[in-house]
Amino acid sequence: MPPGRLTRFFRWLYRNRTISTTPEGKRFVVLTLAIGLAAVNTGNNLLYLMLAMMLSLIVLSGILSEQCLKHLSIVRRLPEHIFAGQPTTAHFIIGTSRTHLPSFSLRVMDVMEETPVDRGVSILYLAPGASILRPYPLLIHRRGRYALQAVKVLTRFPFSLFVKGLTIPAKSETVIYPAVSPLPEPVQHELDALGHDQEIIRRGQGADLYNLRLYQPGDDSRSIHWKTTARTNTLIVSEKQAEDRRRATIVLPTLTPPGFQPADLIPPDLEQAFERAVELAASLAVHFHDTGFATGALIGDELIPYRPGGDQLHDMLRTLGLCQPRTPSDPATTVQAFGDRLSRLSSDTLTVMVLPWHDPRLDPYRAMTWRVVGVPEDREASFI
Amino acid sequence: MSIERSYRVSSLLLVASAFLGLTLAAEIPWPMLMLAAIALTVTLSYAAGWGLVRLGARLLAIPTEVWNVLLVLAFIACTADAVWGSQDVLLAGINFLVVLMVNKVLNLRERKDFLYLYAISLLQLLATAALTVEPWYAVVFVFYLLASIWTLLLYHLRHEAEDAGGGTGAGAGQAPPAISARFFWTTNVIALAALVITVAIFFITPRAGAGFFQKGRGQAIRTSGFSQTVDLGMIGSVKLDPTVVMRVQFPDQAGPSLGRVYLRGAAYDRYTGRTWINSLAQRHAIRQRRMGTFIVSEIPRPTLAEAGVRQDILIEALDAPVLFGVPEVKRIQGNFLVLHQDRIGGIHLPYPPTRRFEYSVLSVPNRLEPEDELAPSFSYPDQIRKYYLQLPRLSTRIWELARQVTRNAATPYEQVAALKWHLIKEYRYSLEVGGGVPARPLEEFLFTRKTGYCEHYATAMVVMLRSLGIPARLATGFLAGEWNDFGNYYTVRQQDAHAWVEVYFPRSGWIILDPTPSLVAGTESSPRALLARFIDSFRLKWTRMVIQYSFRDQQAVLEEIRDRSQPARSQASESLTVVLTWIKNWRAWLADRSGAWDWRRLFVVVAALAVIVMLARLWRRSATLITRYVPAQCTTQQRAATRVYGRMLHMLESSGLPKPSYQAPLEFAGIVGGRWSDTVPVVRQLTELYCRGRFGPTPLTTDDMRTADALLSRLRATLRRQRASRAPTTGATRWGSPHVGVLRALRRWKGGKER
Repeated sequence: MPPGRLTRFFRWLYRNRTISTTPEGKRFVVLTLAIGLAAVNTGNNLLYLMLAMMLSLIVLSGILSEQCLKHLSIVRRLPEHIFAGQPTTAHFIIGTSRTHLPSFSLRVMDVMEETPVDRGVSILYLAPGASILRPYPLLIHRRGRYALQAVKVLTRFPFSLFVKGLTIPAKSETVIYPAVSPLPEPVQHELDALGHDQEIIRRGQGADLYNLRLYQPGDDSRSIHWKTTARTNTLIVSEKQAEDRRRATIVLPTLTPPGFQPADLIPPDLEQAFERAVELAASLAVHFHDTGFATGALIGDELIPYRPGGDQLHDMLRTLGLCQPRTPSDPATTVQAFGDRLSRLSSDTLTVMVLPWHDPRLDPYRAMTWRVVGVPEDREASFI
Repeated sequence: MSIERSYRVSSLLLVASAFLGLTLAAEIPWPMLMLAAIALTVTLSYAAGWGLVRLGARLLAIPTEVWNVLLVLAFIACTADAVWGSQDVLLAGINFLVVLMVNKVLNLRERKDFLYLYAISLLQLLATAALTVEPWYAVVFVFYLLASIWTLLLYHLRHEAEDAGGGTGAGAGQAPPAISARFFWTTNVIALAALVITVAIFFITPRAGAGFFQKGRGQAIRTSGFSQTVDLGMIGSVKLDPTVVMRVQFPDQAGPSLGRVYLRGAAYDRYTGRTWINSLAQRHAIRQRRMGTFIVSEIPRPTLAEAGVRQDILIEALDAPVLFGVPEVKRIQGNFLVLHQDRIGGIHLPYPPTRRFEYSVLSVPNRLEPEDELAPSFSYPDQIRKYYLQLPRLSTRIWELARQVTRNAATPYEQVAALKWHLIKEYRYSLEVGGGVPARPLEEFLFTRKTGYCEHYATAMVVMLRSLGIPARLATGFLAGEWNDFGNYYTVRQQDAHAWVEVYFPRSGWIILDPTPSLVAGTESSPRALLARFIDSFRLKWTRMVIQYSFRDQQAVLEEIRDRSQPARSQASESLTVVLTWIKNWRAWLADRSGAWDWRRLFVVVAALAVIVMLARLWRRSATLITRYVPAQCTTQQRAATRVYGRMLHMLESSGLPKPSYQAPLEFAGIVGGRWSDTVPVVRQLTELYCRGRFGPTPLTTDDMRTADALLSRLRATLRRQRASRAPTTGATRWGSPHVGVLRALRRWKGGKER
C-alpha cells in the first residue's frame, strides 16, 4: 500500500479518537524500551520474548479500549431553562448497542469549542445492550448563547496504561438566561402595592365569583352552581370574574453612552454595568411574573407584547439573555425609534425603565415611565 | 470472589510466578529462599481469605522503620557480596531483589506499593531470562503472562472504582462486576489473546542484536578425547556419563534409516604406544562465503545434491572447542565469527563455547570405490605415507598377529576387512579394563586381557593396519544411536563418545571402519523413557524455536513464504489475464454489434437490476430493524415476543416515530398514544404482551401470538390510514428528525395531559 494511502487509512481509522498515556503507562513504556534495548544489545531471545509480552499488552490495550468505545450512543439533555450563576442539572444518556461485550470505565465529557469539559461523569460498567442516565451538575456563569458541539468519552480500560478518547458529535444549543436575584424587600412591597388601580371587574375565566344566573342552553354543564340549584330547584350557573392582570413593561435601552463609535469596544466597567442592568431587568421580569402581572418588554429594538404565562417570561428572559449593548450608526434615529416604540406602549401599564448608565438622549422619555431604575456601582438597584 | 480479594491474590500470584522462575534459575541462599517462600505463602493465604493464617500475617507485620533499617542492611550486605564475596553483581542484585520483594509483599497497602511489586516481579523475570535457557521458562512465562493480565485488569477496575468515589455521586456508575464465571472466562480469553500476540510479535520482531555467544553462566560439560593428545583409555572415563551433549537432526532424511551415525570431532595420526597425538594440528581459518556460511572444501553442486547429508546440530557447551559432524564436512553454517580447521580435518572454534548453540553441517560421506576394493596393491602419496604409517616401538607379536590374521587376504581391502572381523569376533567389549593405564596397553588388550572398549579396538586396528603398510588414523567423536521419535532427531550423550578407524584408499579417500562390536543400546520403550524423550524433544524445539531463533530463521521463513506463494501468485496473475482478455473480447463484441443492439432492452435489464438491488437493501434493512431488538440471551419464547415487539417498533419507526434506546416500553407506548390516539389500545396491548412474554414468568401462548398478529395488522392499517390522511400536508408535517419527532410527540402528549 502506498504511504499516502496508508496515512489516509490510519487517519480514517483514528478519526475522532485521541490517545494519551497515563503515569503508569509512561513507566510501562519506559520499561518496554529498556527491555527492548537489553534484548537488542544481548541478542537474548528470552528478553525478546519479554519485549513481545509488553508490546502485546500495549496492542491489547488499543484493541480492548477500541472495543469499549465502539457502538456507544450518547445523548445529552440540557434543562430547558438555565439561569446564569444558578446550578442546574443536565443529563447524559449513555447506551451501547453491543449485545455481548460490556463497556468499562467510561468518562464522559462535554466538548465546548473543541475543548473537553469534565463534568465528573463516569461509568464503571455498562452492561451489553444497556442504557443508563447520568445526571451532572451544570453551572454557567455568563448569560448568552451556550453551545456544546460534542461529547467526548474517555476510557483507561483495560490496563490503565493509556487513555483513549472518542468524540461523538452531539450538538446542544440553548440560551442562558441572565442571573436573577430577589429584589430588595422595599422595592418588592412598592411593586406589590402598585397596579391594582388597573384592575377592571368583569366576567371572564378567573377563579372568583362574578355572578349567578339562570342556566341557558349551550352553557357549560360544569359551570352549574349546584348548591344554589338545589336550593332554588332551578338550574343556576355561576359566572366567574375575569382575571384581568396588572400590566407591567420593562424597558431596557441597549444604546451605548453618547460618544461611542460603532467600531469601539465597550470598556469592561460599562460592560459590567450593562450586565447588572440586564440582571436587574430579568429579576424584575421574574418578580412581575410571580406576582401576577401581565408583562411586556422593550429590550433594545425588540418589543415583546403583553402576555401572561410562563412562555412570555421565558421569551423575555431569552431576549435578555441575548441582548448586547450596541452603538448604532445613526444614534439620533435610533433614539427616536426607541421613543416611538415606548410611546406606543399602553398608557395603563406600569413601565419600569432600567438604565445601565446615564444617557441624556433618553431623558425626554423618562416621563413616559413610572419608574426609572439606575444601576449604580454597588450593584444595588435604586429607584429614582 | 470480590474484586479486592481477587486483585490481591492475582498480584501475589504474579510476583510468586516471577519468584519461582528466579528460584529455578539462580542459586538463592536458602535462608533467603525460605523467608521469601514463607512471606509469599502467608500473604497469599491471607489474601485468599484463609482465616488460620491471620495470626501468621500479624506476626509478620513489622513496623516501617524496622523495614527501612533492614533494607539498608540488606543493601550493604549485597554490595559487600558483589565486591568482596561472590563478586557476581547479578547474583548480589538478585538477592537484594528478593529482600525488596519480601518487604513489599508484607507491606501492600497503597497503590504505589502494588506498582513497586509489579516492577520487582518484572525485574525478577528479567533476571531469570538472563540466567537460563531451559524450557521451564516457558511455563513460568505463560503463568506470569496470565497473572499479569488478571492483575492489570483488576488493578484498573479497582482504581477506577476508587477514583469514581466509591460508587456514590455523579461519578458512580454501576458497580463493576464481581468475579463471575463470565468475567473469569473473558479474562482468560484476553490472556490467551495476549499470548498469541506475544508469540506473533516475538517471531516478527527483527533480530538486530549482536548476540554472538552471549556470556553464559552455566558450567561447560567436561569431556575428553578431543584435545591435541589423547591417552589411551581416556574416553572410557566418560562412557558411563548419560549427560546429553548434542541433538542431531537430519532434515533431509529419515533418521533411523541412516544406521550408525558417526559424528567426527578430532583425529590423530601419531601413536606413541600410550598416547595418540595430532601432529597436524596447525590450523587455518576456514573461508567464509557469506555471513555465517563456511566452506570447508569446494564440491560440485550435483554431488552435493546426490550425496550430501545435512545435519542440524544443537550442541551443549563442551569444554573442547570442537565442532562435530558426519565426515567429510564440506560446509558449516552457524552464528560464528570465525572457524578453524587443522590439517587432519578437525574443525575448531576459536575458544570453548559458554552456552548451548546450534549449527548446520553439510557433509558428503566417502564411499569405497570398487577399484579400491579390488586393487591388489596401492601406491600412496608421500604425505600420506609420512604421517599415517608411523608406528612406535611395539612388540613383534603385533606384527605377527596382523600377518596371521590377513594371511589369506589378497588385496588391501580384504586385509582391512579381515582385521576388522578378527577384532569384532575375538575380543570382548567391556568398560572394566582394570585400574590405571598399563605400560603397554595395546599389547595388554591384544594378548592378555582381550577385553576393552572402542579406543582399544580402534588403536589395535590402526597399528596393525600400519604394520601391514596400509595408512590409517584414529578418529574420535560420538556415535549417535538414541533416536527420539517425538522430535525426529538423535540424542547424543557423553556415553556415546566413540573412537573408530579411518583407512586411506587412494581413490575413495578416508573410509570409516569401526572394529568395535556393536554397542548401540537402541531406544528404550518404557513409559519413563518415552516421557524423557518427549521432554527432551520439547527442550529441543524450545531451543530451536525460541532460544536460537535468529535473523537467519526469519529470512528462511520469508523465503519459504515467497517460494510457497509463487504458484498462487502465478495462478492469480493468469486468472487476471484471462478476465482482462474476456472483458476485452466482450467489449470488441459489443462494439461490433452496436448497430444492432437494442438499447431499450439494456436499459430494462439495468433498471431491473437496480430494482432488485434496492429491494434487497430494503429487505435487509427491515430484517435488521426487526432483529436488532432481539437480544442474544433469550429463550425461544422470549425471542418470539421480542420479534413481535420489534415488528411493531419497525412499523412505528417507518411512520416517523422511532423508539429511542433510553425509553422504557410502557413509556414509549404513552408517547405513541400522545401522538396518535387511535393507536393507543393496539400499542398498549402489544407492549403488554411483549413485557409479559419477554420478562414475565410464563411464555406467550399460541392464542397470544395470534392476538399479537391481529393487533399488528390493525396497527398497520391504522398507520396506513393516518399516512393517507396526512398525505396532503405531508411536506409540512413530516418529522424533520427522529429526535424532533419525539420531542414534538412528547410536547403534544404533555399538552394533552395538561388540557
